[in-house]
Amino acid sequence: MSRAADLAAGVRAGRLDPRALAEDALRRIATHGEALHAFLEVDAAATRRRADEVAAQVRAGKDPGALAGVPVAIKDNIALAGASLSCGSRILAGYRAPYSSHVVERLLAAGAVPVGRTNMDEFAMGASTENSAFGPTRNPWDVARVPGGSSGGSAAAVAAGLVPLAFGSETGGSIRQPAALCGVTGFKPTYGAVSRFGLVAFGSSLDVIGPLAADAADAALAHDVIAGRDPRDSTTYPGARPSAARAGRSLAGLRVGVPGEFMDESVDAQVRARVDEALELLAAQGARITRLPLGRLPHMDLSIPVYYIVSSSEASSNLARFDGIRYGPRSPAPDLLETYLRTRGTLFGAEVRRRILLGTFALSAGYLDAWYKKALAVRRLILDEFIALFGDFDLLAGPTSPFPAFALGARTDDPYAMYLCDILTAPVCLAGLPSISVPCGLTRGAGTALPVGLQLVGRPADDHRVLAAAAAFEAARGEPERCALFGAGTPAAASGAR
Amino acid sequence: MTRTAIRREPVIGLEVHVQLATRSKMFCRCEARFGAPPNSLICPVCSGQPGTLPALNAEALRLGILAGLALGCRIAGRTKFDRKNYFYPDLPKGYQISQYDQPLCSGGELAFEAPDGRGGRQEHRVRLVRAHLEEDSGKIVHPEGLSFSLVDLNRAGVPLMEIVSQPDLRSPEEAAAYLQALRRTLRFAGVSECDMEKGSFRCDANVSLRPVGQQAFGTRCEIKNLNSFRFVTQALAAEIERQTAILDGGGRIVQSTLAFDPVRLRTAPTRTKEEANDYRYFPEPDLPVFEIDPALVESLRGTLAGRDPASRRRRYVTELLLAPQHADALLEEPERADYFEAAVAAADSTVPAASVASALLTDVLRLANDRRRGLPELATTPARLAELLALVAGGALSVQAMRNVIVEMEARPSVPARAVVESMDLLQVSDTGELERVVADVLREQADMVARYRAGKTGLFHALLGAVMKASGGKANPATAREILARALG
Repeated sequence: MSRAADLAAGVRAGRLDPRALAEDALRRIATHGEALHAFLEVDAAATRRRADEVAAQVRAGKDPGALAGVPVAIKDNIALAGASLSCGSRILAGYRAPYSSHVVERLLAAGAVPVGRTNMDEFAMGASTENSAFGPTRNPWDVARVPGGSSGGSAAAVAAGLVPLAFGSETGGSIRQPAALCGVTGFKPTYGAVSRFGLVAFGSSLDVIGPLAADAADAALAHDVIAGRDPRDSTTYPGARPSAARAGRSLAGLRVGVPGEFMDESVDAQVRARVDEALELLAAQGARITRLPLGRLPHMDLSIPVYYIVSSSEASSNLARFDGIRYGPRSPAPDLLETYLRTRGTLFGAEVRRRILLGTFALSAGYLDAWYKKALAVRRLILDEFIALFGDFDLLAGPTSPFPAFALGARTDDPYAMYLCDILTAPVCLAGLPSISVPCGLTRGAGTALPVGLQLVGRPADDHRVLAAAAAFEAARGEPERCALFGAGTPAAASGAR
Repeated sequence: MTRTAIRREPVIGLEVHVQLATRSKMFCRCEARFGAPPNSLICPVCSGQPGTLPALNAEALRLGILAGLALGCRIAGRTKFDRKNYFYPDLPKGYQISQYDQPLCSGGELAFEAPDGRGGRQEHRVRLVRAHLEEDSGKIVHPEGLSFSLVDLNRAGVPLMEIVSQPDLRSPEEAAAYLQALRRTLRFAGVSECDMEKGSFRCDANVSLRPVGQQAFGTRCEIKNLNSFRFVTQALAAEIERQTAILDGGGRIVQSTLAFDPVRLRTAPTRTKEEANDYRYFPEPDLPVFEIDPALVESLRGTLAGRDPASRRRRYVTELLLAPQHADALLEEPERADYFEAAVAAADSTVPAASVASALLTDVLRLANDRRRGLPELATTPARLAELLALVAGGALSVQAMRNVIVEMEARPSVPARAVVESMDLLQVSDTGELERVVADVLREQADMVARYRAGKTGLFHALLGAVMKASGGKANPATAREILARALG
């Protein structure tokens, strides 16, 4: 599959037909969709209409924008007017968004062609996409394995070459972790860089929307389209800068710290080996790599409990609106209380109910100080520790996920084992930092070769530096291994034009 | 069981919800208007659609500060919003955006007069705990005879200020006087219409009883949603009676939430099962902490200076020498007081402020009422009224004739007041020479009546004066005519 940047350039130059690109994406989805279950909804008619609209713009001499004609997949928790917005939950089954999110408005204004809604863990709560009420997505490298989550549908769609570009959301690792497990590039912007207006809230102080792409250049292109101040989201900041990902690819002199906490024994040996090789490659390009002993992020080991208290507390409030009164299905009952209990008790999945209970508990009178407020205090310490590190380093590096893609069902019986998937990403989310996961090789030895992700983390609002470093790393690395599906059949339109 | 009744005093604190007079809602751009068809003023944000976020209406914050200043509160340097979590069908998000531990305004005090129970009036000061911003919920409608309820979200997200008093009130009458004063203060600050009928001024009352002389408070009950001044007094009286009966009977008050039944004049526990509500307040993550610019606060304070009803009342009574009841009547509506002050300013020194007040309170108000117009929309402007009153003061126009002139003047907006009077041929005759001639004519024509008057029927003076007025075509200055007639009759 071609890069989004090349496709958009081709469309803008009149060399590529948006309709042909859309048909190609629809065909790939039709062919592989069932096996992967990456999509919850594909509206072929709307996709074609939209592609023709973009084509008409080009014919009329107008420039449709930076993503002209690029088919994009959007996670089913980012509102697109008229489309599904199920969040992978039965409580929103059949609900259609009455408005479009800021991100979707920006994508449409840039000429993108939304092809479908991607599968996800219910309300983005999970790290395997197995918590989707509509069945799990499968990893294109090995359909017996999970794609990661919660943006598993978006990661699998890009990894399998169904679309060149997808969007996900991240609260504790939901973009970067599935990107790592599926072998694609996933970027989590600084908290507040991208408007959350139209993103169904999970943990409001953590949620961010970001791209999943074949490489960092495409991620940067997409990020530039969606980032920036939005008056409808008071937590956005205006500092979005045009990404420097394509320019200044030199890594020379870049100070990269590798916190010991990111590379300890709990991380899979194969993963550590691939990350070590990636660090050597960075060093060979002139980056100054410093391996730090344990102790520079002394509170990182509390990230998981802190993350689950903060995000679940916010979620318990954010998910209160799903009561069956105004929209979505309702479980009828003789009185109001019973209506609430039945609707929320039967239509939310087990993990969502668990988090609502956890969050409700943490906010309850008598427990607030011991749990929620204490968690906020530790969150602050974690941020301070990161900021202190950034006094010495431009970037931090380490693995994205402590282990590669695991088998479906392997962690579903043990919530805490599932929560540990976020151990290397959640602290970064708690600190609100920009971070990217780029493919850095495959596991070797017995069994299926599985992708490993290198995580780079930047200072707050240093999104451009993170993207630029990732692009430089990718240039040095060369084309990464792709799963078998990815290359299967170059887009007809694109090949015809070349 | 009879026992000697212990003398108890009621302890009352009020929580008032005031709708801030913004054009749009607090966190979205929907109109904040009363009386529109159900669910016609809603959008994805205020109907709680998934993915929506609040964005604060700056005007709500401004009006909140203005209200706080009008009530003498401290304005916070930084303020934040919190979520108050509970489930109810009229609450679209499952939480209300409110303020918990960093309210916009705290402290403050309201001074007012209330009847002292002995026919006089007594000054009271009620301390305020705090005043904070929050959004309104929607409204549930129960269609009669049907098994379902309907929700109207037009009101959801409308900006409110909750003003919490200390339990400083000691009787239903004091509570009512406090509410009147509060309403007046807020209306004069331009913060809210405070229209109870439209729900823009609502009151919850906390009541407890304690033996006179005891410091500690008794167990309190909260009466919710009192939406008229009369209901407030009635509900408090009923609740005091209920608690008194329980205590006199040796019982104990159970802390509870009550509703007032205005038909049976009774308070009763609300039907919803009263549980210990845990609202799980936590900081609203979708809104930043707001820094309040001290310069803004000071400029708002400046706009309020001297315009509050208390200092206006003082000025009216001591400087302008108005009767207290006139001062109060003028201060019922900000438009009245503004009109009054503009007319006084426009009038020359011959016009007493008292005559401006009485002309406004009788004639101009009647005119406005008849025409169904607000005072600011009248063609009878303060300046034209002042002109008219100068004619009255100079004896050129009778007060009676002025009423007719005002009506005519309203129909002829661009004609100066004096010209209207002249065109109506109403300029009064105060010229003694001319009036003496009129009196002489009347005495000649009414020789019979004059004879009977002189024979002792002094009551006929009024009939004779009437004849003089009639002969002058109503233009005689009554005082001058009376004087000349009295002299002529010896």
